[in-house]
Order: sequence, then structure tokens, then C-alpha cells
Amino acid sequence: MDADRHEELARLLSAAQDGDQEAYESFLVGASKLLRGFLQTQMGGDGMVEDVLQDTLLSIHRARHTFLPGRALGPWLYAICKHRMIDHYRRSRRIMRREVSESEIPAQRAASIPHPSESRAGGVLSDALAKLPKSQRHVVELLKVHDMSIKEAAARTGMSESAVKVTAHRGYKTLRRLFGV
Amino acid sequence: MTTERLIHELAAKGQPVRRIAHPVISLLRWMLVAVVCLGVGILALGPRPDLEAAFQNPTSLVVGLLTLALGASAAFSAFTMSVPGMDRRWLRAVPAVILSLGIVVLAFSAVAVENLHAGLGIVCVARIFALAALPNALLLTMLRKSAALRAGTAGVFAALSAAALGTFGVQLVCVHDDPLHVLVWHFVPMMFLCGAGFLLGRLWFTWDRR
Repeated sequence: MDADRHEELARLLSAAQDGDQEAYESFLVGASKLLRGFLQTQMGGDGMVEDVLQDTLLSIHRARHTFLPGRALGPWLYAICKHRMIDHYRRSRRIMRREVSESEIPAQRAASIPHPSESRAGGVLSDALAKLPKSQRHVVELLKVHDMSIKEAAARTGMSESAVKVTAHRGYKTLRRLFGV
Repeated sequence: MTTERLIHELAAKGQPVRRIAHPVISLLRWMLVAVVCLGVGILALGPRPDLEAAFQNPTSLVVGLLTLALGASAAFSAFTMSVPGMDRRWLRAVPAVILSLGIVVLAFSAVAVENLHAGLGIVCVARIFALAALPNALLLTMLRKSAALRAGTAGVFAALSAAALGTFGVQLVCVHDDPLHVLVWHFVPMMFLCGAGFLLGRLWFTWDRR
């Protein structure tokens, strides 16, 4: 059953490599079903399954030229997925090392720490971001706050990569002007 | 963004792509160009005058063959690592085994030599770097088109394979057959290049960040 499914997906991916967009969409739908199940098994109750799945789909898109027709699809697909999953855990560990959850901060101390938007730097930055046009603010936040790549931001906003670059550039320029740099 | 929308957008961007070659084909292509580069480099540096006699020495012959095998196996590991799902742990172990064998052979032959003399081999190091530069650049360019899931390790194997070819080339140029000289001035530089390769791999193999 699984072997048949893999074979069918391999055939679709092979067609997608030749530019068949319908086959590519069918492949991505089929692959995402397989990978969602795999990620749910591996990550359990982690609520990030869908995020990792989306990252995996982006990686598959970038690496689709490396699938060699005639070879089994499973090892190729799951290798990319595991890579993204490990990447996700590394990133989470990095964040956990640097950040302290609010619940771990004693109440008194927590009360003395201003919210980012209330702190001087955070407040200035929030004010400056708020002055940007909506599209520029969204792109700058995706790139600089959510640490996305140009491609990821383009996929998220539905803009072309060049449009993301231009919009971000305009946003930075406006921010520089606002800060008087 | 929902996964369904992402899939739809990715499918809309699904232009035809040029498939990468099988790692064996890539290896043969790279070896062909690398050997030509090496040959030109050796001719430019001037092969040692006693080349025939040098390779009648069993140690030189074995070390030379092992160095060549190291170059080919490390390049093959780098190519397989760059295709998701093709990487095998044992394949990655082969270059390490060959490198260890080379060091053991040199160490054993060093024991038999009475007056070991490493000499100063800065020129040899410079020559290894020079002979490895083009094959390494070519290999890095070829690997960048693939999708190395372990970027740093792929960089190490790429550097090791080019360095091994450079070392083999220097063995055809350098007249010092003293095992200690070969160990210190021909083999140790390969390790330095591996370290540089790790950093280069992390910086250069950016398929997932582009």
C-alpha cells in the first residue's frame, strides 16, 4: 500500500521536475499527508507540526531537482523532513537558552520588567514600525522579527521575491529616516 | 498561511528543473577535470627527476595509491551527502579508514628509518594548496547545485578530496621521501584544509537559505 503510494508520488515528482504544475500540486498534497503523519508521530504533542511541515515543503521545493527518478522516494522525502525537524529543535533549543518564559520570572521581578513596547528601545521601535505603510511593516516584521528568508517571506505574503526585497528596502530606508541615521 | 495555500503557491512556481547527475557520474566528471588540472599543475611545477625510481619504493607507491583513493572516496562521500536520502554512514567512514591506513603505513616506515628528518616543507604546503585550489573550487561549485543536508561535513569531504589530490601531486614533485617529511608536510596540511572546508561548507552550501 505504502510502496504503491510512494511509487505514485515518485512518478508525480518526476513529472513535476519536467514542469508539470498539476502533477507537482498533487505530489505536494500527497507528500504533505505522509509527512504530517510522520511528524505527528515524531513530535507528538508539539504544536509546531504544521510549521515544520511548511518548512519541509519549502525545502522540498528548493531541492526537487535532487530527486533521481528510479530511486525510492521515501529516503529522499524523509531525509529532508528529518533535517527540517532537527533544525526546528535546534532553533527551539537556542531560543530556550536565551529566553526565559514569563511563568519562570518571579512575580515581583516580572512586574518591574517593562513590556517591549513599554521599554524605551522597544517603544521607539514599535512607534517607528507603526509609522511604516502596512505592506512594508509586514515584510520588515517577517524578515527581522520572525527571522524568515526572502523566499519564505515571499511565500508567506504571496509577493514575488523581488517585490519583497524592494518593499523591505523601502521599509529600512523609511526606518533609517525616522531614526535620523 | 495555511499549508494548502502554500502548496498551491509552490505548485504555481513549479518551473522545469534540471536534475542533478547521479553521484557516480558527478564523481567521474569531477575526477576527469581535477586530474587534468593536477597534471597541468605538476608539469608547471616540474615533476621530480627520479619519479620512476621513487615509485619503485613500496612505501611511496602505497602512500601514493592511498592518497588517490582518499581523494576519490572523499569526493564520492561529498556527492552522496548532497543528495537527500543517499548519505550512508559507512560511506563517510571510508575516507577516514583510508587516511588512517596512510598514516599507519608512514608511521611504520618511519620506524624503519634511522635518521628521520622532516626538513622544512613550507613550499610543499604551498604547492598542496595551489594544486588543490582549482579542484576544490570546482567541487564546491558542483556541490552547491545539490542539497547537502550536512553542509559542514560535505565541505570537509570536498576539501579533503581536493587536498588529497594536491598531496598526491606534491608527491610527484617533492624529492623528499622521508616518511616524517611526508607525514608532517604532506599529510598534516590536509587536516587544516578540512577545517577550512567545514567553515566553507557552512557558508557556501546555502540551498536551504536561498
